[in-house]
Amino acid sequence: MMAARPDVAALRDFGNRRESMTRWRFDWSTREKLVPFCFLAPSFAALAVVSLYPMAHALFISFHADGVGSVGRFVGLEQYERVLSSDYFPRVMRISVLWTVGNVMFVLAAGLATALMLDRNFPGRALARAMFILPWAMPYVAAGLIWGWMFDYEFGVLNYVIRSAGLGESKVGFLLACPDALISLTSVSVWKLFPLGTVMFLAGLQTIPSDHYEAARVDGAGPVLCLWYITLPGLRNVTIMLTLLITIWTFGRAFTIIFLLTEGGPAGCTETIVIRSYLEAFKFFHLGAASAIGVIVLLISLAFSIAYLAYAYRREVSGG
Amino acid sequence: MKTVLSRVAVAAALLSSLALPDPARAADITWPSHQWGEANNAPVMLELKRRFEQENPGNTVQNITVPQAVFFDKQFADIAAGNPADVATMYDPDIRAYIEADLLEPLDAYYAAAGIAIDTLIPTRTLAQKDGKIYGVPFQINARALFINERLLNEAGLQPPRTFDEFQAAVRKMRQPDKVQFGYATVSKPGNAAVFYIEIAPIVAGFGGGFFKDGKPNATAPETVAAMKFIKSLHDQELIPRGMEINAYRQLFIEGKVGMYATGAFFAASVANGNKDTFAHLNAIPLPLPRGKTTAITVFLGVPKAAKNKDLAARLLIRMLEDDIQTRIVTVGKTVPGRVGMIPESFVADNKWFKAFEQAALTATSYAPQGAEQYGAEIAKIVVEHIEGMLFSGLSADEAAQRLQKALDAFIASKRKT
Repeated sequence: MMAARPDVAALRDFGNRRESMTRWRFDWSTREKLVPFCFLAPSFAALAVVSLYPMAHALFISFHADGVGSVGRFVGLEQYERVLSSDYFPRVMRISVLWTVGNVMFVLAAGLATALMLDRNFPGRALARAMFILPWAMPYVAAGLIWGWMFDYEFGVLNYVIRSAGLGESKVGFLLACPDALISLTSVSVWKLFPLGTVMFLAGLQTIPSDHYEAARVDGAGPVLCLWYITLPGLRNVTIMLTLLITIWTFGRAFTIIFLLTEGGPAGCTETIVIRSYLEAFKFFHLGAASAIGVIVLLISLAFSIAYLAYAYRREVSGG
Repeated sequence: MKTVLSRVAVAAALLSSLALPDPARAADITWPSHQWGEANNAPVMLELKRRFEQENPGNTVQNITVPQAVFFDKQFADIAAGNPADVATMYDPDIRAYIEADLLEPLDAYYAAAGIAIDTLIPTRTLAQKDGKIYGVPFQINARALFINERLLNEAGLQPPRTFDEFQAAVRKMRQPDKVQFGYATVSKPGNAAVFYIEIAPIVAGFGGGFFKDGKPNATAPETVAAMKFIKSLHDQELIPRGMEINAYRQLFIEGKVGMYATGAFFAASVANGNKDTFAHLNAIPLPLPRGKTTAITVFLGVPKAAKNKDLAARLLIRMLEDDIQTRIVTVGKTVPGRVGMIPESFVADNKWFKAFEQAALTATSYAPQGAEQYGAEIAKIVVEHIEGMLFSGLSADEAAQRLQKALDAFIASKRKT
């Protein structure tokens, strides 16, 4: 059987067409550069609709007078001036900072402690690891409702345990007094967030070479010295990343647990800036003021985000 | 090319004609509400929907149930976005705020067409009026009276209290910590300013006080301070369930663990559904507080200006004021309806507890701050923060009242400035 002869004319025609196509299309290297953007485009479009547009609109509203159903008149920076000079602003900022610092400190401490524990070999380690992750997996609303009942003054299990264990005769108003309410809320938030710290610290611990510990032990270092001179420096990068992440999350999202358990009370002592923004918008119908507060929160969170990204970039460049 | 363009133009014209509302065309009236999910109100609203759809063939009412926890936020978000439903549900302070923001359609023409005189509506209708126009339909008024569990009173050897002293004695005598039993329940949980304010408002009014009078702060008036002292004494002596959420202590009443609770008539339906024994021993009396006054929450329905089916929605709401639906609001909804004189005598005869609410509805004032109703939510927040300070931070009632007065004065001054 004879092999079919190639149709030279057709091939030439195909080559010409291809050439003419590449004349008006991008060349190979440009196309290669464009490909990542094409993949990113759908995500960017989705983000633009659900995130960037609302942000831009909030910024737009923050320069206008309060209006419902229509945007009020342009007032420039008046809303910002009013928010920053209000009686409540220093209070809600102080509470937000306390809330954030409390969360960061205790998430780091609890996360590190549990990570060190779970890094050791012991029977049932896998089960223990899974159990420590559970609070993180629990939805915020469910956690809030459960803790609300646990803190309850009349029927709460915590008061029952305190009395049964002989730790006190009078009941504790976990959510009924200042600063008890803020401490209680912080503890719930830390309970919910510390597994994130545990997971990140555990990952960090795996990267510390075991021969460092062996060498230290040969030199006579005990567990405390090992922790101080090997573990903590080895976890420096993780600690910085985690600090920035928890700061961004807790400052900008100081809402769900607080709203579920105290709604900013008693007497405003758990009212964070995010809670205030919600109240201004949905309870007092001050959309301009609420948007201005939102933009202020965004700017503060953005500062931490830039710090986080700068650190992450520096780490990537240095290969750390 | 021309053909293509002309086809596109025709298609666009057809599409736009479909998108534009035609007044003569049948419509879906959108009515989202938390009340569609309430055992006492849902049957009444469904009856109104059924009858309206029968009388207006081709038009439908969309009953959209929204949980109460998110309803008012969602409604506000929809209105703020310029995309409201056809029917809006508002309580006392909110309707004033909505009217002041020019968000509601006046309904005078519809009242006139239905032959319903405005002065036949319950007294709190004035909240829906501005400059001679009315912007809402009062669905129901929940004037506050005191529900009592006669079984608990009998066990304590007591009669229903008629004076303030008898009331105080009953609160003390029915309190049994070992049985987790309370003589009286009211709010003592910080946080939700609206709920807190609604719950303490009838107590303050019962002493003849009020946080506002004729648009001016009134926190240091002796009557208001006396009411604050009473609230503090209940809290400090643990005579009320402390730190408990409203639904939790309502449930305690239903379960027969609370002797007395001041709220609206609607609560009877929850008791009837929740515990037959408590319902069998249920009675209600006017609040036995020194001045005998009380407050009310009125549920108003209105038509947002930006609604798509304003005319039909307004007709639907006015239909609610016809005798048949008004009667069902009483007999099925177990609440006082928007029109005076619509309560069947036979219903009151069969439900002795209802009498107190019928009387209260005629004299009760709105719980919204008098003369400053449009700032209700902000004022409630300021008031509640100070009451919480008194209850949870050891502040005396006098000192809390002084600080509250100062804060309210500053608030009103800031409003005058803007």
